[in-house]
Order: sequence, then C-alpha cells, then structure tokens
Amino acid sequence: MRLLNLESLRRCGADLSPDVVEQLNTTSTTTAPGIRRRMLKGRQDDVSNMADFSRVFGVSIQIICRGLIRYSRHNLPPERRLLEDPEILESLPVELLTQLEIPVLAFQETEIYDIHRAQCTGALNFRNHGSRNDWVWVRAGTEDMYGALRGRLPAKLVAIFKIRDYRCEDRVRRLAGIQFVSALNSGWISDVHSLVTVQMKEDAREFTVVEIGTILGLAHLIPAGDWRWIVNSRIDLRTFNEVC
Amino acid sequence: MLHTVYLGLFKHMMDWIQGFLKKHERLEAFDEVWKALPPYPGFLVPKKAYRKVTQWQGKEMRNLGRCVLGVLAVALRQPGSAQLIPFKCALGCVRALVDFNMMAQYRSHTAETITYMEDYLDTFHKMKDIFLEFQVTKRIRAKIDEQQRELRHDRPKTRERIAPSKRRRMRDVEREEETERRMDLIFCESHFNFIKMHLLSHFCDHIRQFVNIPMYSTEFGELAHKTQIKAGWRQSNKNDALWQIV
Repeated sequence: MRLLNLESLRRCGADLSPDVVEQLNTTSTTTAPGIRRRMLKGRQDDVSNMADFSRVFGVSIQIICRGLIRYSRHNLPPERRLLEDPEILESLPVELLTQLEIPVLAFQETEIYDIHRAQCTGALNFRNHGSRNDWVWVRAGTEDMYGALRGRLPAKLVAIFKIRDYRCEDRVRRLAGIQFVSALNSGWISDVHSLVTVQMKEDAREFTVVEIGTILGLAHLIPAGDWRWIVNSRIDLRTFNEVC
Repeated sequence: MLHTVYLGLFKHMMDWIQGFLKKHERLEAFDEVWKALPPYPGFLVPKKAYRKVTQWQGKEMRNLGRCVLGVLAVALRQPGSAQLIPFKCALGCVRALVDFNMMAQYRSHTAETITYMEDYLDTFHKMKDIFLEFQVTKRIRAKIDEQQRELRHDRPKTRERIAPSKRRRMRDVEREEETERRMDLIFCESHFNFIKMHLLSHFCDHIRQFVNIPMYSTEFGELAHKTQIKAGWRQSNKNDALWQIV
C-alpha cells in the first residue's frame, strides 16, 4: 500500500500512541451512521425456484446445489446450514436479480461513497446485445494472501440471487454465483509492467457461491487472450494505492 | 494537471507510443485491446480505435491515463528476443509517468508519497530515451527533408547504362544510407527539453508548499469559464459585457 492510514499502520504493527489506539478501537466498534448496504436490483419475474434458475442460466441443478452445499459448509454455523438434500434445495424459493449496487468508500474520504453497479445477466442479453457479467473483487482470504492483491481475488459475477430458507427462521440469504480466477506469480506484480496477471483455470470455471457481503467492488480486467487477464490497477486511485 | 499532464505529456507520450508500436508492428494489437476495454464506473469506454480519434479532450486524456499501461502491456506481450529490452524500457517509462500522474492526484500526501513521486519521475527521466527517436519536431523534420534533398542532389543522375539488377542494388544501398543518416540526425537533434517536461520537476515542491495539486488544476478555470463567463456572455446584450457578466 502506498499511502497508509492509521488502521493499516496498526495492522502492520506500527508503534502508535495509546490514545490513538483507543480512538481507533472506539471508532471501529461503533457503527458509522452513514454506512451503506449493498443493494440488489433488476428482479427477474420468471424465476421463482431452482428449476427456473437453472433453466435461465443454463447451469444444471446439480452444479448449483453442489455450490450451495459447499457455501453452506464453509460459511454457515452448523445450526444455520442448508439441508444437504438436493430435493429440499430444489424446492427453496429463489429470486434472481441482475444488478448489484456496491457502495465503495471514495479514496481519502470518510463519508463519500462511490456506487459501483455490477451488472450480471447470466446467459441473458444485456440491452439487446450479448450477456454482460462484470468482474468484481471478492474477499478470498486474509491480507497476507495473494501477494499484491492482499487477500482479494477478481472473479466473474455469473448470478445474483436470493434464496429463502424456510426451514431456518425463514431466513433470506443474498448470494452470488461467481467464477474465480487464480493469480499468476502468487499475485505479485510483474517486473516488466508492474501489473498482476490472472488466469482462469478449467476447474475454476465452475459455479462458486459466495455471500454478496464478500464482494468488495468492481474490478477492471483487460483481456490478454488464452483465458488470461491483466488486472488494471491504475483504473482508480483506491485500487492504485492498494495493489502494489 | 490538465494542460501539463493530460494535454501536455500524455499527448506526447501517446505520439511516442504510436511511433514505437509502428516500429515494432504492434499497432493492430494495441487498437484491438483498446476497443475491447470493459466498462468501469467513471471510465468512458472507447468506441473507436486510438488512431481513428483526431481530437482529444482533457477528460478523455485523463481516461486514457487510467488504462494505457494495461493496454500497452497486453499489446507488447510475447516479445521476440530482440524486442525484450526495448519493450521493457517502454513499459517502464510509461509506467513511471502513469504512476507519477496517479500519485499527483492524491489530495493529501506524506513524506513517503512525495518520495514515491520523486522516484517515479527519476525512473521516467532515466527510461524516456527509448522514445527519443519518436520525439521529432517540425524543425527536425525540415532538417531531414533538407538532408534528403541534398543527398539526392549529390547522386549521379545518368544510370541508363547500368544493368537493372545493379541499379536495384544501388537503390537499396542508397535507401539504407538515407535511413542511417536520418536516424543519426534524429538522435543528434531530438531532445526532451521542453517546458511541460520541465514543469513535472516542480510538482513535489508544489505539494510541499501548497498541499496538493488537483486543487490548483487548470480544469477548474476551464469549467468556471464554461458556466460563469459563457453563460454570462449569452445573457448580456454584448454591449460592454464585462460589467454585466460580473
């Protein structure tokens, strides 16, 4: 990171005075009044269950169920897990959406948010043209992972959906189907152009289900052919400051 | 920022890059990547190939600064063995200038960020010689024309008695000599000694003195001119308009 703030300095183990640490603890535990929530938009009326979802996206029900079970095992506490019976999973009500609004704090600001609108039409057309599935940053690990990417990975957004688990307090889960890419050179920048290159391996082209809370914002990837992309870290000041 | 970096150095840099890509036959690849750029909030996706755009606005150049390094990196991928070093130098130079510009847009700085800026500027100055042959001014172009005219004038004109194959060989040798002398002249005469290049060296001092650069960008003057002056002029009766605008 080029310009460090107090929070990142603390994470690096810098010697901060006790009153600064105290202030940081206070601000981090209280909820900021202006905090913005991710919003889902563009509801598709013709999708109400898993069969419709599978039909619209051209992905088999088995693959979707496998993705949901994997998500449930890795992310949910045992008492809230989805039942792993495919028949029950198929019966759960599903809402399909096409737009995700992600508020991203503007660089060097504390109250101003940039709204990133991630479009995801799956296999459907976007404005009478081909389908549009934007690239997003997804939190995939801790800050010390993936080199310069600092625990984030770009992923292709392939579906945004809500699933209502009527067996568990009628809880609604806001989820996204994504395809992860893997970072070459362990995520470190290249010596030649100082950009990170990512590649989509064949086994990663499957459907991975994540919570939409793990989606951090839009990513800008430039296609370099052969299932490879260059992560454009100069697209905005925040990305430039963080990816280096 | 607007007139020094976007419409100044970025414009020069793009001319150098175009010359460089033409020399290494990568123009097509550059245009292909340029047209295939994905959308991003606040980023205007280019609809035409770079070469087809004749006029560039400041905001378009700013836009260009956000993607040019990535596009160039893709266009210059898989270099031949002889191209490795020039490609690395060209990318290094563009990277340094783009990074310097990105950092100049910060609204608050620390001693570290200013050091980063100084490093980027140093790197840019060290590596910019790779583009020297493409920094051809009108004066140099006139000199090249004059040199070629002289060369042609000095050559013997009657070649009718020479066999065609020999004549062709002679023409090739002459062409090679012309190219060599043209490149010698370009390398002797070209320089990066112009005012916008020099202005970059004052950016760090400016930050130390006045906190940040975007606050003093000429963009604001241009925007104000559009809304305050032009609108005022239109509303005036054009007779002694200054007082009416004020």
